Amino acid sequence: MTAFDSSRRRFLTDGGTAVVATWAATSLPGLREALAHARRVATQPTPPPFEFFTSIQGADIAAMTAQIWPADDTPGAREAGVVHFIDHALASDPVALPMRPLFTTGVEQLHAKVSELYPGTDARFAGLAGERQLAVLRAIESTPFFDGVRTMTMLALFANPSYGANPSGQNWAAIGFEPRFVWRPPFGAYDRDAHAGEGQ
Amino acid sequence: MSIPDFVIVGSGAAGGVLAKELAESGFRIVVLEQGPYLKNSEFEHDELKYAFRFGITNDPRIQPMTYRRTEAEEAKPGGTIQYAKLVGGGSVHFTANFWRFHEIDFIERSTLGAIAGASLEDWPFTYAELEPYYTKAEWDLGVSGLAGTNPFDPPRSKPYPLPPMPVKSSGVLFERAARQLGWHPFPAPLAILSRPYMGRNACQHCGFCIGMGCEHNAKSSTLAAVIPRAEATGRCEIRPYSTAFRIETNRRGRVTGVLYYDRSGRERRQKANAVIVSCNGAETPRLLLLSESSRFPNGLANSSGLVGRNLMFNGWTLAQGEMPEPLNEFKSVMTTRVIQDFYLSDPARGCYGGGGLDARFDAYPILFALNNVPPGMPRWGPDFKRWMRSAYTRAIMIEGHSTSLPVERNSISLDPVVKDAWGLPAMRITNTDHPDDLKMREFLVARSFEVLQAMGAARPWALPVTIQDGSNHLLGTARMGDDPRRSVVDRFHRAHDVANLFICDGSSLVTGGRGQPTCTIQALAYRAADHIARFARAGEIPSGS
Repeated sequence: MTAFDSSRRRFLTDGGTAVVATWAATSLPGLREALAHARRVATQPTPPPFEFFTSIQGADIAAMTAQIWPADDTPGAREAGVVHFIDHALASDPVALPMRPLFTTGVEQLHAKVSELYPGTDARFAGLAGERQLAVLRAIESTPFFDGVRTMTMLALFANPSYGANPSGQNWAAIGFEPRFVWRPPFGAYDRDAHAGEGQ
Repeated sequence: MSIPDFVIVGSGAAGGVLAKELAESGFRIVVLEQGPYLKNSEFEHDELKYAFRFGITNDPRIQPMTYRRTEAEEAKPGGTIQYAKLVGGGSVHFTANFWRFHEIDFIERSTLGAIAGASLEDWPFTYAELEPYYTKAEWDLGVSGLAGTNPFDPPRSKPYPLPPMPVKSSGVLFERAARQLGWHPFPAPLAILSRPYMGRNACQHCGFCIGMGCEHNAKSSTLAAVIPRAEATGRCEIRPYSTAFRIETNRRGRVTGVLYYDRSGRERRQKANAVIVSCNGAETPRLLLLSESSRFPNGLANSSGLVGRNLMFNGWTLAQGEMPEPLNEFKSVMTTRVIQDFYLSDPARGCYGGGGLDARFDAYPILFALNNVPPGMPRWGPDFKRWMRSAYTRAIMIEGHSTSLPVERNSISLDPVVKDAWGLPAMRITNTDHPDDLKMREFLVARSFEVLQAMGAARPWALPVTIQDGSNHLLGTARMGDDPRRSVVDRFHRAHDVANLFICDGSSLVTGGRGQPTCTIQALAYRAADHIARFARAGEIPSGS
């Protein structure tokens, strides 16, 4: 067994992650199209309208992804167009139909949580101040919906650029992963002096 | 081809070796493999493909499984048995750890006595008898390592054919910390070429071993190392996309051939003088059980009732921490240093069991983000992103690999309700790890924390030890033995009940060793091939055709 195998196993069984993982396993064309769509959208000055979500739902989920993977000196999930990845998949991929309830009921649960925590305001999640958004997400971070959005975000960020995501591997670069695939020692800071006599 | 001498079902760690050995011995072979026949140039560095999209593994959407903890429960869809489904089988996608079993693994029952709740048995032969075949496997396949560096290593007749892989930062840190703790770290033996060997390339350190095939042919899978030699004899046909579902028998109780579905789903028959089953420790018992008949009402070769029983998964543990400087563990092989100081069972631990630890890193970016976040660290937000940007290059994992006691009630059987895409009964897993196996894993987790602390690793954490509902180590389900009432195959892998049926793969193992079974499965395959060839030449395998 390995950490790789153990993580794979968890996709098969964990609520929202399993729903997303099943789709990602089943629909290569849908995955590619949705990632390519997100990438196109990310390069446009004005994002196009949502195809599946209402503009209100889309804004909420976009705000959620921006909280999950915020911009710093590297792009965040909003800049990567992650919400359009989710939206396009749900709108146009028949294989993604079983994923729809996870997101449509989830986004309403998100709004219900906003109303519960901040009664008397009409605000949607996207309109809340940052601190309030964080409080709402902390309150729903164990739900299948949150897991689903988070898993879709990680797929869109870290999948191979060949799928249409992660342009030039920019999100890999942000975490220090270099897609060179041919290396010579030394590999890291702790094996710099360890290779004398290895004859490589 | 007229009727071949042998049909081998499965082309993996064992089947690939058997095909090459028997073809080189002059026999005519057909190998049925349910997966595709891929070239090394078709393997990609693609986490999404191999981790999410079942790129080269069994696909639960068409091959569902069910799981239950005990025989008293109704099994429910679930269970996480995983195996590689392509020519070369698990040897293509494994980490390539290549530990020999030790002398004790073959004689633990007589050494320790009976263990309550377990069906521990001695093997029908000793380490000494298998040793030449361990050496043959290492030299024929290509293994990197350094003999004489592990004081617990069993006797070996030859050193490794290739020097060890260059040490990684995780190996340097682990070596230093382990020595500080009084342990004996040594270079990991790996079925990966540190130098060019037998016409194959050396490892280029791409870092994508686990779960994936090697595009340089540097991983010593049977696909890279021996299947080309089997085909070069002109006597071995590898037939991909061939899903065996029944071994046929005649009224004399001999096998006559194998029924399988081809790529288009059409039923086909391949006749054979003899059949060798090498499907892995989960699919082998399933195929035998699917091959029931009026003469073999409990499944083929199952007069003992032990087909599918004594399922062993091996124990596995994960602990993780982070170092101040980048290790860049995404480069090169998964692990370069190992200890086996806790290999022997020790009553002072309060349980049966033994195991080893290695230092490694085996998570690609998506998996790491989803599943390797320390408890207490936010799984999203600015702190999470900061953590990812630091930890992906600074994380180090300590993994434990340990014993599974054979327990008869742990099994592979046929699900009475759920069917696969061909309408055949799905695989049903019944498993509750023996309490001692869980205690041994807790012991290894505690040692993993010690070594992380000795390294000065920050944020140490470990996965909780839980009962397993699957694995990719699939062992013990058609165990070897001299007594037909207590084993499925004899010491030469011949089914006690069927004179022209042989079974050789993880299912043959009587005990599971300490977590890295592939080397032993392959040594057994080399040994089985020698004996099967000897029997065939002597006319001691009655033909079923």
